[in-house]
Amino acid sequence: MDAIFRGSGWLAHALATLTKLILGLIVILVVGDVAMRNFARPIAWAASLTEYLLIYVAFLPAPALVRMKGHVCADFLRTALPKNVQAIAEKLVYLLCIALSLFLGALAFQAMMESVRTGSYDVRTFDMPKWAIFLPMVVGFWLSAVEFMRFLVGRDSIYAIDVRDVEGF
Amino acid sequence: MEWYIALVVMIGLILPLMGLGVPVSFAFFATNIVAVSLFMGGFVGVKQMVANFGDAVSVYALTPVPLFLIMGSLFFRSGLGDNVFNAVDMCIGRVRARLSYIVVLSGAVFASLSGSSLANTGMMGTSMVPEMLKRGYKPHMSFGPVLGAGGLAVIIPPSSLAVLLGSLAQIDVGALLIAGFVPGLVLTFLYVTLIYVQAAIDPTAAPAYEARKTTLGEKLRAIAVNIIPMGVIVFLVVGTIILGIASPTESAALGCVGVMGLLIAYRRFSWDIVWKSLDDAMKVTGMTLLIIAASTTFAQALAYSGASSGMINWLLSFDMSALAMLFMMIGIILLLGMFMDQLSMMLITLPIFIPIAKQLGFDLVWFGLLLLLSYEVGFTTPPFGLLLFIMLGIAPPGTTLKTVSLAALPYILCTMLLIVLIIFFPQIALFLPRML
Repeated sequence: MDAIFRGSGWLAHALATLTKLILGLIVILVVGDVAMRNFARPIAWAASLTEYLLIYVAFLPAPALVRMKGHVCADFLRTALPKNVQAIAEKLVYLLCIALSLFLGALAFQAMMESVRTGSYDVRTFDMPKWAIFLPMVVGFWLSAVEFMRFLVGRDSIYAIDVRDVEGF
Repeated sequence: MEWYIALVVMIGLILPLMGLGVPVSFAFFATNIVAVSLFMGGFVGVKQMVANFGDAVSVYALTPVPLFLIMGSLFFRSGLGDNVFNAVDMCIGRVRARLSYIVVLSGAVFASLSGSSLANTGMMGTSMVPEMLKRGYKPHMSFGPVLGAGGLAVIIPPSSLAVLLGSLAQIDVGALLIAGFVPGLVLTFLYVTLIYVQAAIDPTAAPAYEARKTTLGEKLRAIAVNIIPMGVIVFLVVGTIILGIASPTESAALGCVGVMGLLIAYRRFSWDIVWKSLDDAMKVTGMTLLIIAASTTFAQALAYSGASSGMINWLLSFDMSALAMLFMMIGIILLLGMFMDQLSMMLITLPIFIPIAKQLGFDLVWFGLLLLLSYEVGFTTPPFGLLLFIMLGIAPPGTTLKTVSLAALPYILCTMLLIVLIIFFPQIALFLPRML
């Protein structure tokens, strides 16, 4: 089991790194588009590519966010529960998240395979194969399931985070 | 099915799931699966929900969110924030409660360069609270200004939360960003006045001390070197929108380039800082976009099941005045803000509040800004205001939530006063956007 979690942790980290590169690319794309629009011809495909990249930014870092406890939780009821009930509730939360991740990942996989089979495209300023839209969802959800599993079987808690490390607005 | 049953099912699922600690995005996913199965065509609807995830987040109007986050993170991580602190420190003479003033004024400058309340509070709290306590400042004069000034980031542009609100509620993002500028300055003024009054009432709360004497030349140099260049960033983000040169996304990109330019000019540029800023932006943007992907279907299910329109018609049937309805909506947000984070509140309330606002003929930019201010209050209301906990993490051991909450209370009242002012004098918010 440890080997699986080490592997998924490595993969999650790699996907998070890829997301950071994508964010850097988005900055360059938008700046390049602004510059080209004012000094030459606008880059016709820049806005659409940025939009598609946002899908990758949404789903690729999801497993890493599970590992680093980066998904925001409200948990105003959980903290009011007795300690032993809290522990049970926590495990149920992990189970629910695993089930959701597997289910949504399976639906995204189904949609992706359907897109491959039919060869369908999403049409904006350029044609994007639809499978490429579903791919980050499949990877993100299924790997998130493994990461939630790590919390389910291990001792670490998704709520054990220093508030100063919480990310947000 | 009656609209109220649909509403009870959806709200009755989402709130307990969130409350029990299910990550917000997953709480939305679970609720959506049930709601879509019941109200939107069963399993076929659930498959469609997944197919729509991509459309929910591939929205160009959301692009400023990561860009503003990168910009703010570059600013803080490079240490440019320290330069601002030092410059403001030099310019404020030997006045009582000078450290409190420094926090609020620096906070306003930070807010114009960063869209993150959490980052602002963390930065100011870590830098200033130990010094303030060492100088004998009481909690309300040390924690309070940091908590108040931290919240300024929500309304003073660039504000990532304003971009989200604008794009989710389909309000002109540029106008909403600009609308926060003057109210942000008014709120800063209210905070400064508050500190003056607090220090006058209890002079021992913020003891005066001998600050390093600086000449006028030194002060002017500090402003010229450390404050005015930041004005370039403010112009790139706010000015370009007002002048109609750039859209919000473009202004955000220009802001990023501007901060990079400053880093190079101040010889603070390093790839390590850039990488860490991308890391910060990745965490917040990833979390946020996943929640948006999840919550879009929530709004659709509310509409499709008739829950939104039923609720709106029911509320309108009371024949309440528009003002009473507005106060009720703000009251609901303030109540939710005690338990929930800003994004979750936004995603739950907007599908109902925006149609009501349209029905009542409200100016959506004005209404959006009022919502934004109300969401901001939630950062500092106990028992779950996130900034309170950040402050507890920074404060000396033994500091209680009550102490920190009481310190934040006068600043919350200032924000509420601003809300009332904007309600009765909409020009405060709409003056700049109407120049667009």
